[in-house]
Amino acid sequence: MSDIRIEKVRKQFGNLEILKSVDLEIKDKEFVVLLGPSGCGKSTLLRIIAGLETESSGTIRIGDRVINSLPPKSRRIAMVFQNYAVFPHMTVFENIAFGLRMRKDSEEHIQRKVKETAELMHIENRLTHYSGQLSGGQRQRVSVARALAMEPEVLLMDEPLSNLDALLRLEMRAELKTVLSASNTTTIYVTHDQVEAMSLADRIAVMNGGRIEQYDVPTEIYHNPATEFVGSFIGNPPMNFIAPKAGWNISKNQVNKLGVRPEDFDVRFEPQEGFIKTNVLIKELLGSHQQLTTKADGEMIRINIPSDLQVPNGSDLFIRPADDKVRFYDQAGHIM
Amino acid sequence: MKSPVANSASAQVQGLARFNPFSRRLSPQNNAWRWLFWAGVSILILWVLAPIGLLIINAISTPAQVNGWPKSIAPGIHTDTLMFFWNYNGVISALINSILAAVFTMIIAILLGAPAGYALARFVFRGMTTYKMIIVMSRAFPMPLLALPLAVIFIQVGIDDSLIGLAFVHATLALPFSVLITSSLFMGIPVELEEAAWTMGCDRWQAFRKVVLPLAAPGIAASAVFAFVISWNEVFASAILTVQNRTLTAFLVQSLAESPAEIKFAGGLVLVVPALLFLFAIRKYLFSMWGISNR
Amino acid sequence: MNNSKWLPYYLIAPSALFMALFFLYPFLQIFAEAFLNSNGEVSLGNFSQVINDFNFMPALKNTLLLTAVVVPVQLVMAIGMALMVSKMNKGRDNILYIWTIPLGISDLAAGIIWLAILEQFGFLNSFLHAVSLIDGPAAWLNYQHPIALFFAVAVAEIWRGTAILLVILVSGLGLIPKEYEEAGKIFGANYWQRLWKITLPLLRPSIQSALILRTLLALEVFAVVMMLGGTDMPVLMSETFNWQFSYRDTGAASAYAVLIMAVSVLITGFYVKVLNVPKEARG
Repeated sequence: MSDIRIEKVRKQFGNLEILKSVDLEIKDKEFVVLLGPSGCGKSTLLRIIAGLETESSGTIRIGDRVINSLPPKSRRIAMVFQNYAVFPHMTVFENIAFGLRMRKDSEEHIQRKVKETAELMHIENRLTHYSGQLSGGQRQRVSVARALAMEPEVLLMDEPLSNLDALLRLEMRAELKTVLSASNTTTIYVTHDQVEAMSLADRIAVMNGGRIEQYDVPTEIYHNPATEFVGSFIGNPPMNFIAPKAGWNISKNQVNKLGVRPEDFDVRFEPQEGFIKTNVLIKELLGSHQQLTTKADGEMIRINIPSDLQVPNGSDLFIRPADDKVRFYDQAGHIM
Repeated sequence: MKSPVANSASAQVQGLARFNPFSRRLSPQNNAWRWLFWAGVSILILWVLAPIGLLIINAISTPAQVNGWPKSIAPGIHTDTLMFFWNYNGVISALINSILAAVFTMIIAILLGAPAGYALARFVFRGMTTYKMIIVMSRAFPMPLLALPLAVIFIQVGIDDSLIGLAFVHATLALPFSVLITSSLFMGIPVELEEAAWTMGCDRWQAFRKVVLPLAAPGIAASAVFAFVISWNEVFASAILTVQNRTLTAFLVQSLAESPAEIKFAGGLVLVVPALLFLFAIRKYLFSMWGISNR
Repeated sequence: MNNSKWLPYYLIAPSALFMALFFLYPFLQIFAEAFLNSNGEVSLGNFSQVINDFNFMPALKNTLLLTAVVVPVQLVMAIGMALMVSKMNKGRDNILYIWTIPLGISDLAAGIIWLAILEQFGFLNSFLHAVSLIDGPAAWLNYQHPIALFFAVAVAEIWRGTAILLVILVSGLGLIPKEYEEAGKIFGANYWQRLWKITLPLLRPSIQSALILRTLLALEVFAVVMMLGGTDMPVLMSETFNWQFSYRDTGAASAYAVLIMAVSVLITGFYVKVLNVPKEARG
């Protein structure tokens, strides 16, 4: 069993609190993404799990082993680094074999395992190359193959795709998804890219300012953001947070803001009961849909509408959130 | 396979601003500038090389030619002067002493300097700035002067007139360089490579040995050579601290008055040649050494 | 990793101990030797002995004058060479190697090299003879020709010591992004304007550290002088050597050492003050 339990983990550098008492449970074979803006502590948390950094307090368990005080080599983890960290003085083969050799596997097993993972990552014809002869994408394949060859209990990935160019990233993302779900390894994956997170994760932990703001499956994260931060971090453009409007007649006690996704508005060209007027400032045609930036009662509201609707700049629209799509947020920014 | 460190060092040299004023249309005026430019470059090359050439000519003349008049630029190749030098009383032992002192210096400088360089490259720790400042400042200190009190102290502890005592002084000269050079070397090796090794079953020492050391080896060798040359060339402390066990430089300075001219010229050549060879071997690192260590 | 808190201290400890033992301790010892007389009492006796010596003023004058002549010439040459290097494409690395060769040559060897040229029977006199400027061997390198001797030493020092400046300046130039100069070009500055208004000001930190290092080394001039002039041209370092090696007077030699250090500190302070680059203006 390789479930992971992180309890009250804190990390402090001098006066700076990078992690403020983080709790996280990851089930066996689960794929969890740590998502957040830079500086939110997601990489630090990953590195603490790896043993590359030491927590200020708290405990970390893999299965029933407390691994806090163990050095990285004894944690039965493997890690894929953002800038690949493929050893430049070794061939691809030796890179993949490195961890196996360190734990003194038999030569026969090493040969077989290297071949197997190299084929899995489609680098079997690069085994005698050095990293200087490889492209960025190939280096990342080596880095993943090297980690998988170890058959770790937990696979840690630190922004593995962020150094690749856009097209390659898309391709590698799809491939990683296949390979990793086939490997059935508990995986923790750090990224700042919400699309990557949504597409790969079983569950996403959205982090901000050293805390986990929400930890849930991707659809929940998208549709029911636990905090205003999550709603505005996920989705492009982000969720609208609007003061309750008298005209809509939807509110609850002590509601501070309504959260509505841009695609969740009913739009009319004429005034209508239960709709409020909003003025179109900017119109952006984005292919599949068009995105409007509008202003109602001095508040910016972003609305997505089908691309075939003709809306002149400066014109007025009348909008109302679709009934079950409104989320309510209190003074502290938490969902109600 | 080139190591990335070597690459980064040469990249620094290669990456220098390189725009070529002559690559545009070749007007007569540009042609004149171009001519002037290369004339200047040639003169400066001659300025550096010609004196060494004349020393070589002297060293391969016969002793009679060395002391003769007027001098010829093409005296023919003779080994008489060099052989005379070789057989001169005390020369061989001085040579051996020079090499021994330089090797000791090299070993001390690297064994003590490389760990400190690694610490500066990989850790942030209290006292780091102070340590670094002392190291940087000490390069500007007239180190050979330390030989004065050490001459007295060495007598007290019984290592006066010894090569190891001299190597200690030379190492104070070379150690700051080796700390700064190795720290810039280690900084050029991404820490992720080490971390990757840790996650793949290495402890710190294994990761250093299997990953960092192979990548840093050429640079470490270069800084060792640099330490060797510092000791090989040093005159003042050698002349003060060695009396019976003289190094080559001490031998040449101390016997200034009594030794014949041909001894000096042959000795000069013997001093110059190994230093030049070593310098050629480490030329790739010369700039990263000074460039980084002067910040 | 978990043991990392003390590790850096273990790693620097050997070098720190070594430097304390062979740098800090003898450094303090120099002062002790200089300021104590033979009875172990604090006194300025060593200093008055040294300063009243007839060689002291010439040694001080020669050293400072030599520094004042050599360093500016070297700086101008090194800047010129560094700019030339920055304009080269082919052959750049080889030319740079040749120009830095003197870096590997000891001051003793440099002295010998120039002795071969400048001595009585040397190549310079032979050349002057060949073009009928002199009749026979002429000895320049002695106390009867102090100016000739001085310039002989200066030439040898310039030849030997320019390389260190060149290396520092070339790597300093390499740190300046070429966009600045390109921007200057686009705004219509010609080559000399770009040099004065962009390149040299940006190079100032490198020029500063190069100047400090080179000046301090110039104050330590020793073997070149010993080779070319013997005792005919006293400088501070050679006097220190004589007090120690010939007169066996460590106290006096230490007093000299203290004086050399004092001059070094003064000049470094001067450079730092005059060439100071404000923190905010550093790239």
